[in-house]
Amino acid sequence: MTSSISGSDQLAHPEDTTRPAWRRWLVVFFGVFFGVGTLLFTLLLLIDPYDTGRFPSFGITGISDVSLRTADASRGRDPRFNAAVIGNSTGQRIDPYRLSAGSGLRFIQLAISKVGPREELVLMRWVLSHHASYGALVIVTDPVWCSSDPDRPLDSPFPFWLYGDDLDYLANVLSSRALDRAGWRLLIALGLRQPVDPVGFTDYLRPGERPVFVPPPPSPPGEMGELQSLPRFPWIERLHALLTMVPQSVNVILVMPPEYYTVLPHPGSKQAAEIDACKAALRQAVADRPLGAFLDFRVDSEWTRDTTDFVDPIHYREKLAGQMADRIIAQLRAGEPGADQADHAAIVTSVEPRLSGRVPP
Amino acid sequence: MLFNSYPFLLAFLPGAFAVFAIIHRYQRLRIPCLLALSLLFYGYWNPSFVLLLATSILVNWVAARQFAATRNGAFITAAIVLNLAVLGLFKYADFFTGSLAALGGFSIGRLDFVLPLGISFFTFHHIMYLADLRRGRAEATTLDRYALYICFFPQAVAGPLARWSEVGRQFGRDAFGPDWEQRCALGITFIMIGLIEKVAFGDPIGRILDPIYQAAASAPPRDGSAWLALGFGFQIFFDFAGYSDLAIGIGLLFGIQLPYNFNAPYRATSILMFWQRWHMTLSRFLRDYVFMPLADMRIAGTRHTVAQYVGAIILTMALCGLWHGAGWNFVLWGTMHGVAIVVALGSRRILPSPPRIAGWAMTIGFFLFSGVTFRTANLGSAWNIYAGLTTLPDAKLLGKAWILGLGMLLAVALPSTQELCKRINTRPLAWVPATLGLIGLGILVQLGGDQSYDFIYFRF
Repeated sequence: MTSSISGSDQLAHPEDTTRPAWRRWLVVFFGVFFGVGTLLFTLLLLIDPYDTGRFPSFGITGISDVSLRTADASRGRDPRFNAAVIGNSTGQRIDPYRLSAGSGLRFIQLAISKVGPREELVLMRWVLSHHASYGALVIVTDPVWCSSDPDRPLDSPFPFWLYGDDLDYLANVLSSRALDRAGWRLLIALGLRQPVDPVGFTDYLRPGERPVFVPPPPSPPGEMGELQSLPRFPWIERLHALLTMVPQSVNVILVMPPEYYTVLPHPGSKQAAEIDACKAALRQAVADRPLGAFLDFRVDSEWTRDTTDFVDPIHYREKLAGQMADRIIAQLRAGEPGADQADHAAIVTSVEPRLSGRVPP
Repeated sequence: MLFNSYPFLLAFLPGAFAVFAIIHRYQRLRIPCLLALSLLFYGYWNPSFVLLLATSILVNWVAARQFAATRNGAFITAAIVLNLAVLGLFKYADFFTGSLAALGGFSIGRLDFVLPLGISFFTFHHIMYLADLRRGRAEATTLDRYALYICFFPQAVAGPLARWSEVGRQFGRDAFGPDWEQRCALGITFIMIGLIEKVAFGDPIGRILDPIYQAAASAPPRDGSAWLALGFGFQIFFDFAGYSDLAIGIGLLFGIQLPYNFNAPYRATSILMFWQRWHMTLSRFLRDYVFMPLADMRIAGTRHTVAQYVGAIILTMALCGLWHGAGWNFVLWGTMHGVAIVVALGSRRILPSPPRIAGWAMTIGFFLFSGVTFRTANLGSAWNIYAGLTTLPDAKLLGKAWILGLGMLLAVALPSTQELCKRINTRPLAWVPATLGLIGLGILVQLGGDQSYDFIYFRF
């Protein structure tokens, strides 16, 4: 035991005979560190753990990744699909198989729980940059899109580097998570592991798994009156800017998902006026597109009054998801050559807000 | 830029070493080169604080030069008061005004200053130098050498607190003399052990404990996890000992031997021994620059009374607590340790020494128990943790915290890092660098997947 805290006792006075050995010590350290490191890094790039297709690789098909945040890098560029649902947990129940069957497009489900506009815009860019042509984008724009905060913090970490430029990817790809996925991809290549379903639809609300929804009491009316000035919606502005670069042939459908009616703002309140302004901005974001629409399900109607259709105030069950999918399909088909434009208009109108009415849509 | 991050390990450190290796041939440029690298490192966090750091260096250096020229102690006193005032303004103003307001029942606005990184450490370095200068243990020096003493990047943010006499003359020496290969090998060993402590133990233990402390803010944990919360003492050990070892290792790469900060504290068999082994450079600072003046002070015509001695110990440790953070929980933690030291000193005089194992168990038990007040944001949360100790953890919960168990075992069983480094580097063995190279690679892989946690002592 020593009470000294001086470091001077650590170094013995080296003799000339040990210098070459210490030099070799350093050579071995850096040789192992950089040599094994370079080998590992090269192998990782060749295996392409997240299937991003950035660099020449072994060409392994399929991933075994159950984390949607990373798995969407592979799914989003899958050439077998030409249409996608993008959103968060409020969009995850929309069934891509049903959409594909009804629309004739090949849908993939890219919704990820606990993501917001920032992540969804990144995903949109990723999808579009990996397809020469695309059929449709269904973007579930929940009220988070109405945020006025241009720097809105993330609800949960997101691997932006995975969807960013190559340098960003190279700086972040070396990790224990990537090694795991690389191992799984090797097992897939050897036939020892099954890849996950590429469509990406996970029924996270299996019947009986969640307690019966007990609706919250109606929210207090809040401040009534008109808005003093028109609010800005920076995330919708960014969406609009991105959509101006999306080919006109892509059918873009923005969906405001349903919420249980007691959490909706009171008609005539400032909060309701803000949401209405947000919906108008979303409608405007696709107004100049020949194939595009805004479908608003977040209205007080029979759809949003049945407690059996909800798990909690903002997450709906299968029946409602199916009805939404049918509306989306109708909208997609309305854009097909030869479709009746009058029907198209009727469909869009049918899901316009009915703040005071109780008429089923 | 954290020591345990890619930008530091893969860019700044190799880049800085390469630049220094080239420039060190020009003797006059060695100190300016290290100084520029240190300011670059410090400015990476917040460039505006470089101005504060530079101003504080200049003001203290001028005061030191004035003292050297005139031998007038008022320059030293004024500079120390000014240093403490700046520290108080940034770190304690809201705490004291808030406490007064709560006591007086009135409200007062908050300043909400952003705490400049490392202000507690560079303030203490200034004070050590000035006090040593007055005592004749340090000499007046040039501005660049003094600036480097204050902001040498391995130690600028969280120590170790090095005395001028330990490092002042090392700056500007030939870092690539006949022993440089051995010194760099030793430095790399320190760095690797420090990274293991931080990345393999400190951060994973933190991930286990953070949710427990978060939940304890509202209610006592009823699942036995309060017992795991006692493991904070091990988290902060791996975190700060890891940081200190990294700082020492990085210093060695640049030819500077910094003082050691830990000496296997979890093997201490008394609280007195514990504080001789835990954050040793702070303990030494408190002993020499706080306790000794307090214990030696003439009060009401007398001095060196038992009451003064006891009061000086408790006050010193209470200040030690306050130094760690502006909160009453820190003051309570420090006071508890002051009382424990007094009790240990008193019992040593009147009672036979307890068996070593009993002394060890009481010491470590007390440290872990008191650590809860250190970790929690307020005393209510600490009480919730203590209340949760009535429930024992089950095997499943303990199984999930296996890394904490392993960490405890290693912290108790292994010698200090310096001892470990000495043993594995008595002579150049090929398996050592090969193993360390693989460990370094493993840590890089781990850092890539994890979010890097700040070093806890950066907050102080």
